[in-house]
Amino acid sequence: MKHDIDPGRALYARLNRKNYIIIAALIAVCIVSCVLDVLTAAASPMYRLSVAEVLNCLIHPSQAAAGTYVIVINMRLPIAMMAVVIGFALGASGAVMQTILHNPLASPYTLGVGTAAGFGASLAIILGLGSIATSAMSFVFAMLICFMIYFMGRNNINSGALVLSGIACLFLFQALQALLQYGASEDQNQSIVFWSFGSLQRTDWYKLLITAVVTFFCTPIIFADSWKYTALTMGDERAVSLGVNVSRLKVKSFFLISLMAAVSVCFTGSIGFIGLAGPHIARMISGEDQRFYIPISALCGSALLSLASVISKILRPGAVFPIGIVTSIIGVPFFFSLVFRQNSRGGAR
Amino acid sequence: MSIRIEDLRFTYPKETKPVLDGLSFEAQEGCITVVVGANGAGKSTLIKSLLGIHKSSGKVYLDGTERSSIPNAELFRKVGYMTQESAILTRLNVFNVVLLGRLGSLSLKVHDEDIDRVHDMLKMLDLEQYAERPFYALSGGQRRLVDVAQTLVKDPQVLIMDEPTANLDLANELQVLDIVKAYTRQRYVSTLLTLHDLNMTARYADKVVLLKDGKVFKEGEPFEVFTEENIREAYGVNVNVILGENYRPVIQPSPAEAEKEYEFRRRSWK
Repeated sequence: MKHDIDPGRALYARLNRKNYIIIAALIAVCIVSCVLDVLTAAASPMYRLSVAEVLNCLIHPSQAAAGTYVIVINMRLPIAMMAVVIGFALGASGAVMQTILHNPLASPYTLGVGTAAGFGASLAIILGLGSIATSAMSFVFAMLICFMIYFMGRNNINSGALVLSGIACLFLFQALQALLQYGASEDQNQSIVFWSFGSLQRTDWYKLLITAVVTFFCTPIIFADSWKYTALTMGDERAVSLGVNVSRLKVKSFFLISLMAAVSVCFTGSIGFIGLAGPHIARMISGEDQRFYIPISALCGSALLSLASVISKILRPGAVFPIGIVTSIIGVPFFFSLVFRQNSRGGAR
Repeated sequence: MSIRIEDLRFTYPKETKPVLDGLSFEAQEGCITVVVGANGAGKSTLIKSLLGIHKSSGKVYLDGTERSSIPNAELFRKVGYMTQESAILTRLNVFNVVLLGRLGSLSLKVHDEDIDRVHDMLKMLDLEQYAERPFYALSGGQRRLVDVAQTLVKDPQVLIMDEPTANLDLANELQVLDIVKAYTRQRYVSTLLTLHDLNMTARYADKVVLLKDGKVFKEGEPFEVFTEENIREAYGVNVNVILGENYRPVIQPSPAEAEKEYEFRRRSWK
């Protein structure tokens, strides 16, 4: 009997090996991209720093010139790290959302969290509130839309009802946003448009800290339920038969991903497609074992957003392209490939 | 762990006619109890009600303990339940699908014991060569075998399977039921199955519960329940019953029945 046991363990180790390599590779990509992000000039050429200057400043911050210190430590570093953290939050929340709704098109963005946050921010801008209140309002509305989606779909908690109510809420907030803009002054409209682009440039250390705390508070809780999410990939009915309390798991996850998505979106505006593309790539390269799928989705999100941040700076030297535009332009081809793959496989996931 | 059901009643929301109308019976340890009945007689509803998935009235006892007093997680650690509905076609590989059967004891780092049990189960059901395949890439019959592996891998004390042989060819059907029988006898568990094939039921059941209109119409050993009269009453079909080996009845629709079917087709073609 003893010699029969080992092949099973070897088989299982072999099944997982690829996933560990993918995770290691993605972490490496994130680190490289984050460093590149800090090295890339964001502002006009007069502030351009050499690679050596930046690296020196990162390694010995106390010895750096005051100007260099401000640019690297106060501006570039939090932005670069914010890209990684927000990508992580959006990738993880998109992955969980797709799993609990059994729908590869679900993500915080496609269900209107970004739109609702935008509406909240617009309302704050029109009421003449400050930047902290703008973030707070967008957070409140992002949470609100999540609760609306949940309560509309609650009585019939199948995935179709939740996805539909999400799309209904998206339209509602789009219309409300248009209504606000219709009545707003030109200056207010400009602020609203600028906010809704989605940009990392407003990042400071405090915003980064809040986002990171929320993200790294929520993800371990989600991660601990990996096996239950994996059971859920076989359908709600099957998960019940395996002993998962499906409705409790869904409520808990919905709350956690709402929190993560709302916090990310309230500081940066609406950054689309990371929550859709991250999980999609993860599913292609790793499969649906949620112990790997969720972290790989999150890391794909980080890598994508961080790379987008670099691209947003080099597209037009001397200016920063709003990152929300960059991610959407990268995101659309992914969206198409997602739809086409679905069709070619006869609707199977 | 025996199962005792007392006066189980269930009506689907917004309907007046009860699906389960005061059902009572018992499933003993070491025995295979098979619930049969026409489509819509309430077989699947019975199983979902007794597991608490449908909120029904009446009492269910597992080894004398009332089911509603057992926490959900503990209940499903003891009860192996195989659903009739096939699962979503996940990309999960077969190994992980079977591993999910041990959900109650799984941690993020999978213990060697769990891995060994899964591997043994895959070997027992001749599924080892599919271990790395994604679930969606299997044939319907193979998927059903994987479902059986997933149900048995947690070493349940009660086995409840809703149509375990749906979509299986004859060889696989016999294989699955032989495994169920061996498991029931060796582990001395109570096994409750629903089946449509009356001859397979006659071959494997220690006890048959024949449902009609949400009530237990007849119960007992196969030769007691499967009489020409009972089957005509429950299914509205005329059959000839021959007693085969070991008093196991063999049920054949009577020639007149084939005639009736032909008549029906001829009429509907017109």
